[in-house]
Amino acid sequence: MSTPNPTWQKIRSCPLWRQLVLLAAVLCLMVTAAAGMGHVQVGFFEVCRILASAVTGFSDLTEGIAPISKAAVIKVRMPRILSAALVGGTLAVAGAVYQGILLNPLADPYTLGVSSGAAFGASIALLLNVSMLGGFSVPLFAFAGAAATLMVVMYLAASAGGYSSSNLILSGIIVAAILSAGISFLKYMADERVSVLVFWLMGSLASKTWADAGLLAAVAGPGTLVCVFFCRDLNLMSLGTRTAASMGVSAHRLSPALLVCVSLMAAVCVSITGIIGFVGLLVPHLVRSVCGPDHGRLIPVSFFSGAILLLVADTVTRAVLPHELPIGVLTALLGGPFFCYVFRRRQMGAMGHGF
Amino acid sequence: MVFKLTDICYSYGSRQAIRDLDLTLEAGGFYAVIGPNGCGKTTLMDLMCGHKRPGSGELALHGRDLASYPKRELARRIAVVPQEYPVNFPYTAREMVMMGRYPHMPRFSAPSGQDFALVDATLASCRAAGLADRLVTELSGGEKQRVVFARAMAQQTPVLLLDEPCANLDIKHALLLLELAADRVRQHRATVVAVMHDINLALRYADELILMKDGRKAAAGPAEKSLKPEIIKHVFGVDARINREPAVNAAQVTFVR
Repeated sequence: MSTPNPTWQKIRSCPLWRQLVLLAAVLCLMVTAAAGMGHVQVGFFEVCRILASAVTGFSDLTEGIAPISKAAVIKVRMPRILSAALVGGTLAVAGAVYQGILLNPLADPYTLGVSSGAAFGASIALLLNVSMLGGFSVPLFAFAGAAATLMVVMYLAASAGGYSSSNLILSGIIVAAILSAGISFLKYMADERVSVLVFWLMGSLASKTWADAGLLAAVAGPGTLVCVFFCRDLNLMSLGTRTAASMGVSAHRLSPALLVCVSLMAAVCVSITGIIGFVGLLVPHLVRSVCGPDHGRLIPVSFFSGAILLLVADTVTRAVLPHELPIGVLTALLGGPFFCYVFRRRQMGAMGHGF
Repeated sequence: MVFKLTDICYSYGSRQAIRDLDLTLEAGGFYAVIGPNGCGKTTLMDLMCGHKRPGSGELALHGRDLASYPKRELARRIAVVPQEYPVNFPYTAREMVMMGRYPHMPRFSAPSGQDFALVDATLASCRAAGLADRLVTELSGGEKQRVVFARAMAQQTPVLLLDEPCANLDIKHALLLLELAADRVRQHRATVVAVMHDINLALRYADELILMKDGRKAAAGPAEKSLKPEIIKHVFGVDARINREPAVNAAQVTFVR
């Protein structure tokens, strides 16, 4: 009953590098498959040749492939596909770290108000039609909003008596509530332009560029490495600050530092794609129930799982559904009921596995 | 001398939890801290493991200010069994005990074969070998306590701070764990400081008692000398009789009313 069943035990004791190689292979396969799907169909091996030629620079690899296929794969689909994978992975890592530090399985990357802050910033940019920075004005405003909100939340928690889990969560809720009232006000003011705003809030990976994908990679890579670097400290912090302190971790310094780090990672994602919910909540849960809560495994496995999940979801809305659905809506529509299912199983003890 | 506390005070807001406390703890000593609820025992533990800093006074470990030790180094010298240990995540008992080895491991190296062997041996010595692959979230209170105790033992520190280590244990396991702690004192000249509610167990295992009341030291010294019926009356407000019990070769207390 309370011993993990043999399959799970096998997964938990399987060497980490094997799991990661497997997940990376699946991800590469998905990326290649997704790149062929869409309005212009490109065969799997053609995609391989196009990608190989782009990476190696040998142009004769793409001989006989229509230029339009090449353009569709390299210029249009790859940036979007990579953005989807990077955002999914980053949000999942951020969620795993949040849940560990806040000792709360319901925490997600937006717990400290990052999404509301970003939404507020973006709303202002959209409402005032700010365009002095070209295509980057909305993301920049969103990021500024998210970062400012994070600072306010951290300050509020600190002045309420320290970065304890309940202080941080409460401060996040308070600030997010104020901001969502602000967003409603802005929507009201926006009048007929409200649709642009609503569309942004729902999140979308459409028309992402290589610049977006590059920026996301620059944030996701180092950010995830930082989290992996502190994986043992995270294990100890997930047992509470007192235990962590007695086992060599300065939780009162490390936990706000790591929270700011992952919040900024999430903030960059939100600024570029809008609000994509449920990935950061759901993925760490599922990975934890299969691979166990050890952060040295949880974080990298979550990264790849989140990447695969969001890539699949985005490909479904882009290439499978007859009409493109905002990705944030899709993840919530699919993730919500699935989460109910997981939650119910857990409550009934059938999982026998915590969450 | 391992610990030296001089004029330690600590307050929560306006409520003073520890007042002018002086203590000297030696290597190779088993110290039991006893006193009524809310007398500052757990606060004393928090101060001694560096989780809280004294409001005033000096707290030295091996002659050096406790606050000047890096956290990781401190974790190689002091292990703590806290009174409460919320476990929100389904670690296995073995993973949990392995965390006791973290302070000894370089950051990027995986646990060595020696670490694994030590973890299994420690679990076995705490009669918890059968729990190794079970999830800590699903253990009973007493089983969980044995795992947390094993983690502290696996930390292999010269100082052990135990905050009510037997609170959730049946008597057989309580005796077992106290015996293990006493072994550390005898064989490795470790220092054990244990907050205990069971005075008879304290008399049996501790070399010295530290009785506390209202954040002050009410009495301290060798177990049988420092515990007098008047002191029990003063500290706990209970009438007691003290007799020698030859079967355990220690004084034992009978509470009259």
